[in-house]
Amino acid sequence: MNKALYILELKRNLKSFLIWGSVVIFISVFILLLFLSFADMGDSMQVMMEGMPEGMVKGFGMNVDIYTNVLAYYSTYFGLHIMILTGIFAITMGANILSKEEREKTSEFLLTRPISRTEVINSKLAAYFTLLSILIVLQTLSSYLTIDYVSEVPFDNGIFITLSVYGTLLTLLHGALGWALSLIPKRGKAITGPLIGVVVGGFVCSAISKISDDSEFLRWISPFSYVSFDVSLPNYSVNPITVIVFLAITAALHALVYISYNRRDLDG
Amino acid sequence: MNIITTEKLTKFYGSERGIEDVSINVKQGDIFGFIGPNGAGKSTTIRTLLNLIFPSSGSSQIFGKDTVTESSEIKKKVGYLPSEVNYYDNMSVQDLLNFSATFFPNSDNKYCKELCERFTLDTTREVNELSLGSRKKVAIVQSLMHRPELLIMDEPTSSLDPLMQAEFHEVLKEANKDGTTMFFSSHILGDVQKICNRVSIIRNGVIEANEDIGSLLSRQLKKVSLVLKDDAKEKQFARKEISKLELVNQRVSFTYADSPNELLRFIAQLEVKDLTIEEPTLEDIFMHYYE
Repeated sequence: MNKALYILELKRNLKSFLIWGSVVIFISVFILLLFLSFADMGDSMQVMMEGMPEGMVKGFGMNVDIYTNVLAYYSTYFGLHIMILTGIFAITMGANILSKEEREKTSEFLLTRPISRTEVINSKLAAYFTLLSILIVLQTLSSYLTIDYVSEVPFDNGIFITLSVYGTLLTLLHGALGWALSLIPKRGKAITGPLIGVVVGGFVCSAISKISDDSEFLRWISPFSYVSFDVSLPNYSVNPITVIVFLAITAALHALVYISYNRRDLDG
Repeated sequence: MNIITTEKLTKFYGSERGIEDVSINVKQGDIFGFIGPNGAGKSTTIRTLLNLIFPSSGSSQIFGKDTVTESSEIKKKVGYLPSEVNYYDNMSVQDLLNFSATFFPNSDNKYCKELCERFTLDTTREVNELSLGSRKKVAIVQSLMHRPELLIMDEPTSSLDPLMQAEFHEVLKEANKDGTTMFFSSHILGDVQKICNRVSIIRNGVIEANEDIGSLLSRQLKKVSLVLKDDAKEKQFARKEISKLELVNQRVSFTYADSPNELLRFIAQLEVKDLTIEEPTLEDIFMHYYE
């Protein structure tokens, strides 16, 4: 790893990190604080939830206990809003951190220094993981503290940890998709639009697939389908196979980046 | 000792030829000119040497090391001056130079400062606010500040004003004296003539000639335009040294291939009202010698 490049990348991505980080933490905390007022309404909210169409409830991953159980409430927003936000942050940062050099024609400058392409990826990957980890840690910590504050009864730490583990896996996979997809277009063209589509589209496919059996095939193509944020499931806990599969695919995508970038003709 | 060796270096972009069978040798201490018109394959050759792109076939070595497998080792002792200068935004000139310096073990701060002064470069300014010429100056400083053993330059004098060009040539000569071998790519023959000792001529991706600058100069091609007192007659100019003759009333233009003394003697016999003698363009040289 090259320290100077690592620090440069931290600086270059700091602004976007601060913006996304604040939004993610603000939404996490704000939504959880709203739980206080829902909890006061208690049973009437429960009745309203039971009156909702089943498809909608399933599609959005809502839990019937959403307004009485704080983790059920958190999981609904975590699995939708937070996952889409961190997913977009990870996928766009992953996609830009390497391809930006070609797009802005600075790869010629960088790669005429004595640095191998592998070292370039190492340094950029380290900066990417640093910022992404900070984002995930801050989101988890702020959510945990807010849940602790709004919950009147003790809550299950195991369920919170499971949600966080699955959320992290999904975010890492989205990021790795960004890294890999950024090497497809020539001249490192920006593909931010399609990338946001990958994340949001993935969520939508997963949501539709839950509504009816006819659309079930859609679940296969969405990373969202392979992790569950439904805390009402009996024995909701981390499935080691899911962890291994997600990490293996993430690692494979990153390996692909190393192989492809080391053979690529660089423009600009 | 050879600093750069290429053997049948070839690069195709799909079916389009970039360069084909390029074989050159640059020896230690050379100021090697690599000349050819735009699109001839000069940048493709340089980009292949620097491993920014991969050769389709053939091989190349710098300092005896393979340019594909040992590229980052090679680059420790290479300076590169690009034709188009692109740097990271939001960096001051000093930041950029510092950043570049971290990569090279033998960066010379004092020399860097000296170069900045000689090129009147304000290092506090933001890189993205700089004019094209100033960016070029930054590129010159960063290519030389680690006292490279080999300096590779791609159209280095474009966008430099004549005063800075002269300073630049001076700096190159000094660096060469201190042991830096130079690879100088250009489409401007005048530049190459001024400082290079050996040249290769490349056109349409293929090396047309490898020459000593002396033999190239001994051909002494000049473009001559005259305005005569009377209408020009074709038989006055029927000589073997004269080619590409054009006559319009009193005006005559032609390419002359012999010593300047001969040319002056020849012109002296004519009644001349006006006279211009110019360097030939590369195209003129190609037309004259290679077709």
